[in-house]
Amino acid sequence: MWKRKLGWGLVAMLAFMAALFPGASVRTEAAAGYDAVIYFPFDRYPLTGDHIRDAIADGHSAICTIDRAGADANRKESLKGIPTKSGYDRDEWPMAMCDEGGAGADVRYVPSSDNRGAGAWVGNQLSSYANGKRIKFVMSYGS
Amino acid sequence: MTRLGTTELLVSYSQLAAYNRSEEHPYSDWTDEHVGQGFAWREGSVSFGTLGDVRSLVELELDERLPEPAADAVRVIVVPFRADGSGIAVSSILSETLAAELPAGLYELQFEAFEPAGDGDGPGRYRLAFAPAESPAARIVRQDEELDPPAELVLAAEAAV
Repeated sequence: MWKRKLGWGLVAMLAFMAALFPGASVRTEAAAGYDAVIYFPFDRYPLTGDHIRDAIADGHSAICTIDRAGADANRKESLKGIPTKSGYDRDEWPMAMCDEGGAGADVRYVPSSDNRGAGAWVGNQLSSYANGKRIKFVMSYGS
Repeated sequence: MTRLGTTELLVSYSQLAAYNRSEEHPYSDWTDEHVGQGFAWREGSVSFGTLGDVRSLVELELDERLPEPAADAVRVIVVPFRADGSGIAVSSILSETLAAELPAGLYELQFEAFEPAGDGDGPGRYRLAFAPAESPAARIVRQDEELDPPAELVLAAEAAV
């Protein structure tokens, strides 16, 4: 009986804390290994989305730890020996501006309009995040 | 000529955007026509296609009249720009940002792109010049082989949100 009372007390205390600190969900995500989730609109950028989905399925990280300072070096590694191709952009996953990017990143030629739009969407979503923030990418369909 | 600022930044997703600092979502969606003409334009924000995803020198200036394009600029594009007085910013995706003051008003913005040094590994170089204009008009002054502009330039784009 006293255990049940203690249990309900704990639940009540957590509910009170959640009301007091609405950012608690962020801490829950942090415990899961990331700070925020963004939902990539697959239908709007299907070819870039296809690449991201395939790369993650192949074992690349779905989490991007933002690392602007490391992007230049990462890109040199990830695109080494991969020539440019007219009408296409070389899409990297993980992206070069992620700590997880660089050597071994998956690179695919993606038509420029799809890839630039996807990059613009990512830029609008993530520009305000500081270096070190861990962002989980989740595919969103039908949006 | 007034130099508004110079910086080095890493270009990503083959685009460099110039926009009013009041823009919450400065980056735009691209269509095939935008890619062909080398820019995606909307009021208060224009994204230019770049010559590579490499670290690049970006020069920003304000002139009384648009400067003569440099002889070694391989791509030169002019677009209208309405500054709202919040200041101007230039950046690529998740890059550093070059910010400067720009008085409110109508301008022409000239974008000049120079071939990246080396085997395309960079550094690249881009010069953006604003000049006041009563009737600004979009035009491609010089085009490289990557551009394939439509018969009529597209002056409409959507924020990528």
